[in-house]
Amino acid sequence: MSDFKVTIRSRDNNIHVLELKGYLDAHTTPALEDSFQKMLNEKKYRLIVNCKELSYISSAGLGVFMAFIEDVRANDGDIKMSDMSPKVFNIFDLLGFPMLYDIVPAEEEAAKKFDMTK
Amino acid sequence: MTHQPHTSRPESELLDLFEFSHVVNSSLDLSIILDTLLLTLMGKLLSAKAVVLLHEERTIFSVVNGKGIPKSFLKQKISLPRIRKKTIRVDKVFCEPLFTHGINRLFPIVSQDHVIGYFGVAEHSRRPIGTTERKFIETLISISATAIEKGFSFRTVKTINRSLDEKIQQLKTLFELAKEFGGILEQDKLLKLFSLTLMGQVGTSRYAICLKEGKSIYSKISGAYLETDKGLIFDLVQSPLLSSAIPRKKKYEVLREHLAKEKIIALIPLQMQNEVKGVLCLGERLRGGEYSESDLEFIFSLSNLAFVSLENSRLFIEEIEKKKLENELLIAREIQQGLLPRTLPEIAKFEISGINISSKQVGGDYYDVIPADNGTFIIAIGDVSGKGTPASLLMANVQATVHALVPFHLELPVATARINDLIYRNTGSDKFITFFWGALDPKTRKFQYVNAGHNHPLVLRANGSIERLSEGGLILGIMKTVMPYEEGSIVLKSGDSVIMFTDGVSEAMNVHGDDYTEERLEAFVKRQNGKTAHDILTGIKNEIQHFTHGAPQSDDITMVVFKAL
Repeated sequence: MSDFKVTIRSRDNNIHVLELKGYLDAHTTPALEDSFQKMLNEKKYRLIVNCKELSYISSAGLGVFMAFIEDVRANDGDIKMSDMSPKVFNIFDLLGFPMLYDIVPAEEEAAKKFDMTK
Repeated sequence: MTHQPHTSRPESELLDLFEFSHVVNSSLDLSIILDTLLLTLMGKLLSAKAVVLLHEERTIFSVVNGKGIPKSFLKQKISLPRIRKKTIRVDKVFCEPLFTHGINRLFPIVSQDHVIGYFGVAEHSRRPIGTTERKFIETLISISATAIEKGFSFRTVKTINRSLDEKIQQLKTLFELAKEFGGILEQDKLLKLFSLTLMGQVGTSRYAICLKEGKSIYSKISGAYLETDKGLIFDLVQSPLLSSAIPRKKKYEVLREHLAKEKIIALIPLQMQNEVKGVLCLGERLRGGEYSESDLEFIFSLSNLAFVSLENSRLFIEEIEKKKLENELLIAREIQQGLLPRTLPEIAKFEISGINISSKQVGGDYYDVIPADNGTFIIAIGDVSGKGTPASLLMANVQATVHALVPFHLELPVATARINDLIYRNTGSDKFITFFWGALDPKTRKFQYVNAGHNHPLVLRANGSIERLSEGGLILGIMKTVMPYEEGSIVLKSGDSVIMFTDGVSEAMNVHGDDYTEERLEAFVKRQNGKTAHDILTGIKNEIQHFTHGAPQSDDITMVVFKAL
């Protein structure tokens, strides 16, 4: 089992942060899926994914973001991402994610983006 | 500045040139270089429109940058000759697209003796470009030529690097999945991983897998639209294909409409050993845009990888199921064989012979010869519905019941009713038994019997005539006994034989799908007059083997033959 962990914490303005740590690949995607599903079940739709300690993401991992984004946005929420290492950002960038998602350098900035939209 | 107009002009031009050269040569970013060039020149010439064209191949130039022109004109490809004149006038004949956009003068950009592009500008008729201005433009262009070439190469390298990165990413994904798929046997898990990867890598969440055989797999795409067009779609999709590239032929019209309705924009064949076994239908990409050739290639590899794994897992599970079934059948056969009499009792003045050839599936046939303590012999044959273990277990029930009832010397119709009620109570209505049994008294040579829906046994009289034993009642197990069973009775004279059999005999099938039939059996039996019970039985067995000739045995074959000596 590869090492991967999701920690969830909440911020002001009903924003919830998913902190990803480790290696997100085919083995570990279920953990991220479960976390997103949990957020949706609890009707938490304003989500920031903090990738500060994310060391790798595979296509399946990226797929999880795609799998939930429509539901989240349908509920007036969003998934924003922050604090990516250049290596991880490169993968997101190669697959065209910046066109679909707000990817910002710092979590604070992502939180502010939520504030501006609401 | 107005104080010294004559000395300041060349000085300021020199300053301009110096600054320009500095900006242009300190950047590798082609758009900054070109922006600077365009804006400087436009300012100098007071022109509102200017473009830069760069050479691509042969006579093709592309509009790489421009000011004051519509955005749609950018990136356009234009055919132009490579002319090394100082300046070229553009009219409608020379180059219509440029002329239409107001560009009427070109200056070649030359680097190392090659025309690498053109600077085009709209020259105002009221303000023609003078010789000094022309010289200045030429100087600016020659200063920037090297920088442009450098910037252009840099941009090309960047593009190549990015597409290399993309390829590496794709290969990484394929490699990871090849590893991953190999270890997963659950189809749901495989499909989930495939689906997530497709979403992440390609950016679509709408796809369906249409399989040539068996059920199609749908994910987020509704409807069974593909079922009707299966043949067509499998012929059509031999390699990855965009829906928009389906030939505009009449036979594809309906399919095209279906695909448009379901928003399927690409079709990917799923192959096993070079044969198309399925088609992956892809919906639109969430981030927009068409699928590129390299996308399709990647999806083709990815989906075929997934498909092969799916097939492998299916085959593996099938193999396990088959093993399980084989084990079950082995058990069923053991039960059945254990219930059949190993040896038949001797009956004075009678010959008796029995046989059971169980089919691969184990049919649940039963026969028995039980000596009763009053000197009679109970001779029974039966066929339980269904196959395999359930059938053999039900047969075991019947056997036990028959054996339990024999010592009570009940009238056969009463005993039959008991068996019927017992089975009816203890099994579902889908389980039933055709059953025939009789009591043979060797002293009186009387054979009393009850036929509960079983194939009528044949009586071959010594004179060659045939009778059928049909008295009795309903099949066992389908309803409670309401009507009492009737009993039939015959007396067997010397040379008379009774042939009891199950439908495995009469319905034995040849390769053409024809049944052996009771008529054929009867005709054959007629010719067996004078033969021993054992010879009659063996004769029928051989006759059936001859008839079916290599066709697999579909049901148990069971016979009991007895003959009065």
